Amino acid sequence: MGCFSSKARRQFPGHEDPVSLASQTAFTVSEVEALFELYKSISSSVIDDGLINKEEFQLAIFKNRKKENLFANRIFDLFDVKRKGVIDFSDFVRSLNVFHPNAQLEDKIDFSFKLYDLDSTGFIERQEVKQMLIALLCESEMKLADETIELILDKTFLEADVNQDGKIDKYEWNNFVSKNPSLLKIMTLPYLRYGTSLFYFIYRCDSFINLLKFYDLSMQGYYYYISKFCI
Amino acid sequence: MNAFELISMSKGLNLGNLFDVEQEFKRETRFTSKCPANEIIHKIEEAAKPLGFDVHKKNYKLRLENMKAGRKGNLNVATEIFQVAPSLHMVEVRKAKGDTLEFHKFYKNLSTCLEDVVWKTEEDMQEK
Repeated sequence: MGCFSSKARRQFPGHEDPVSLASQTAFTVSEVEALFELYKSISSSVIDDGLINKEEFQLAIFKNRKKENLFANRIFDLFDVKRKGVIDFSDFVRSLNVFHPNAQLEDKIDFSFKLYDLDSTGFIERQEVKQMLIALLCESEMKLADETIELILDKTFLEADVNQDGKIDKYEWNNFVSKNPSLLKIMTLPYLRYGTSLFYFIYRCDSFINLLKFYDLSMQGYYYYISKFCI
Repeated sequence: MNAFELISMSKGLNLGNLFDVEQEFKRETRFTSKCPANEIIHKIEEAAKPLGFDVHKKNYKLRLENMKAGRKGNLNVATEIFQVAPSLHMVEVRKAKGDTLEFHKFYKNLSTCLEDVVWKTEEDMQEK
């Protein structure tokens, strides 16, 4: 499955050999190849430049390229390891590696801490947690009174902020997550382990008809789309 | 409930969406053909044998069995041909036993070989 030629390296900037990536991650070579198929599909969805930009990432997660989301932005920024505003294939595989069921727990804990440390100060401040909570409520169209939000924050910080300095440091986060392991559920994608699930995605993706469904287009719509955007 | 339990419910933190796993793993599919039933049967046989499948025929039903065992035993595929109109047939290809993903792979290979037999795929038929 798959054949990595120099063509891949030309069309995909920052592309790394799958054997090398597999040796440095929990993925097998065929899983890396399957991830490449996924990567190709995402990275060509808006601009066909072999890189995943913010819009393409949003499109992949929300099926809506214009959907702005605080948390997706954080994930994007963390995947964008080289801080170039785009995710290349190497970034993609190495970042997804943290979500592998066999990845080290400390890597998952570390990633989740960075995720919630919005301004990268090395602490998760109360104000940041409030901001994230409000973003979540907004996203789910839930309304809570400010007092209630403050109560939730009080309860959270009572448990997590052991030295009561109004912020959660890495050690406090480690302890907190050990006591509340369900908080790391988002850090594992079970199907990353099952190579064949990824192959299913490939076969589904290959189908022209599914491409139409993905873009919610009829045949007429498709011809219009290609005439407008020349894909 | 603590703040982080709520926060982790965000859709933006669900990377499973990248894999679109909500897609149902279908266990059967259909296509239509304008070829005569005997020709369809013959073409399926011709396509299945080189893929390593044993073929059992009975009337307009075919049983295709992978001689090699897969992830969940030997993949077993049942095909049935229905006459919809004098020169229009509907062919149903269904997984009878084995791994659904292997079935998908098999069907993909099969449909490549059946290109001249297939008139409309299931997706074409669902087109409004």
